Amino acid sequence: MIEDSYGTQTRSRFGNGLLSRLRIPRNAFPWLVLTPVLTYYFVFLIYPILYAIWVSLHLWIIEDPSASQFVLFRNYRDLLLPTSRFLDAFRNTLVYVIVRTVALVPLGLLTALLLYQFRRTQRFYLFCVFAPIVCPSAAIAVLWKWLYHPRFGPINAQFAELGVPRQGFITVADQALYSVVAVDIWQHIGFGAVIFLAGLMSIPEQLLEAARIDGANRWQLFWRITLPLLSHTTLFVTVITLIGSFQVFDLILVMTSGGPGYATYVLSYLIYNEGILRTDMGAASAISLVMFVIIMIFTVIQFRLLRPRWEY
Amino acid sequence: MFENSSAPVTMGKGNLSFERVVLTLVMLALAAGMFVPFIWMVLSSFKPYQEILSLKPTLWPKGFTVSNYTTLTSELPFLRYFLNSAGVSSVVTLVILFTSSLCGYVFAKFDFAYKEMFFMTIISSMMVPFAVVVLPLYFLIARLGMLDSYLGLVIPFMVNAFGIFLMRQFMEGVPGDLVDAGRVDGAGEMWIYWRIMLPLSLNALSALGVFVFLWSWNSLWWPFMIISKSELRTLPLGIATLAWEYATRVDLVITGATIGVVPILILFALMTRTIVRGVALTGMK
Repeated sequence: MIEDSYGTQTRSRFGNGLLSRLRIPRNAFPWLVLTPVLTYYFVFLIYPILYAIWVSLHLWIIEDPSASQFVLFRNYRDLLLPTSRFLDAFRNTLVYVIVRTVALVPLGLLTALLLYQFRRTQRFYLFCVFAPIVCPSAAIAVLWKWLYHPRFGPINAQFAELGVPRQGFITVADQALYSVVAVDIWQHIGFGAVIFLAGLMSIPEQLLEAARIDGANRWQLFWRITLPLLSHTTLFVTVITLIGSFQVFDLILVMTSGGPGYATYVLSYLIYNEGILRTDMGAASAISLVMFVIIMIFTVIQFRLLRPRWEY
Repeated sequence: MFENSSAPVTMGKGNLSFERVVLTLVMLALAAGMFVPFIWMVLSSFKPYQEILSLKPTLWPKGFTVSNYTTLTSELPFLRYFLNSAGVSSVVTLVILFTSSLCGYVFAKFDFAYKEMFFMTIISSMMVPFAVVVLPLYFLIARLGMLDSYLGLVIPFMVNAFGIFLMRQFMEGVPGDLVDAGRVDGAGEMWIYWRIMLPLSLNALSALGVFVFLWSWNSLWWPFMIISKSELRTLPLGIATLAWEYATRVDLVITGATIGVVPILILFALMTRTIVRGVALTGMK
């Protein structure tokens, strides 16, 4: 035990456990932490990206990478050939992203406006609306696959009772993509809703009160005050939803595996399909990098919007 | 965040107006639309095969049975899947909480050369979609001999850029005086981190922890890529496998999905606001 000039026992104040015995010079501490972290980053993130770029420039031979032939942009050019599924997947992804975003943003806002009206029971409603988000997509996919079942599914049973013809949903090409995106929308309504709800709650009540005293009706209140004040939130939700929509994989994998035919091939599924099932790593890498660039554009926008506003 | 009580109970005058009734009905309809599929699923898991397949579906099980559960667990080790998921997700969560808070502390309370450059390097990885790295990562893990191993499920997810971002953000709000006082008194940096920074960051840690745990618990793509041994499957992978291999046994498939959903819904019911806050604040799902 060391006693300083005041007679206090300096060491013992911090105990003699591992934390105190581990004396790290202050200047060295950041490097001691960051060196392993940055090394880790290099190995598990930067290296894979560089690897993907490198592979995308080759006719890659998985069994013997050293025999791969450098072809510059041929993999990218070949994506546009009629034999490639890239354009199908690209179009499907675009439809998926647009439908999902266009539906989720207003639905989230409406749900938030509704939730906002309830105080004591809000927790219960919040629970119901948010429940699908916390569940594994695999389980959600399995559940809906069954709800959609053309012969035995409850939805078609309801349809039959109402006199609506039975639908094929995910089993027919012209409905499959929309059926999957519908599930995705159903699952994620609560996400936008809680962000909008937080936005709504941050609007000062005095502001609305003042407008009300000035004779504004509900409609005007919403369009002139609430919505403009939520514009930042709306933009944020839109971009987050866009980025999320591009990355859909689990639902497609479990519900349709890209089928029927190629009707629900999206970019992420195509990457898996080309890379693992068809072992065409060059094409798969090229597709993944195209996807990277698209998502990067939106992420840059998101970063501009993501002026930190964390509340606790 | 959602505890704000200053907002009005109603926007208008009366409490039990016609409008209030309509609003409640709409809210109930929406809540039902979101939750009834789960109720239907849980109830169906107690129905015999023939009842589920009947052309006139029932809601309440007529021939109540638990045989779906016994059959399912004898076909596939679902308890094992559950434990695998719990173990992997817990480890991933703890590791990410540790690395994020440690890096957060370093970025928030230290000055050193190239600090912002390092920070931006880490943060910019947030814009990399998993689809871009999944194949190279697969080959990397394969070369490290970690296919079909718990380590392979954990190792690519030990550092999280968003977690570092969040913890730095939060720890910058911790008064620097506290840290300086500790340093003056001769406390080591690890002591300050463990005894001062962590206890003061519990809010951020719990939000991040909830988010990471759920994300890891629900993830399918990565386990699907690297796991082929049955006993190493995680719960989502188990459910997906069930849907492929027993596609016609709808009773088993529904039961598997129920096992995948019910525990997480119970957890969610117990801590609704914490979980909602965790997912919403981290905003990346």
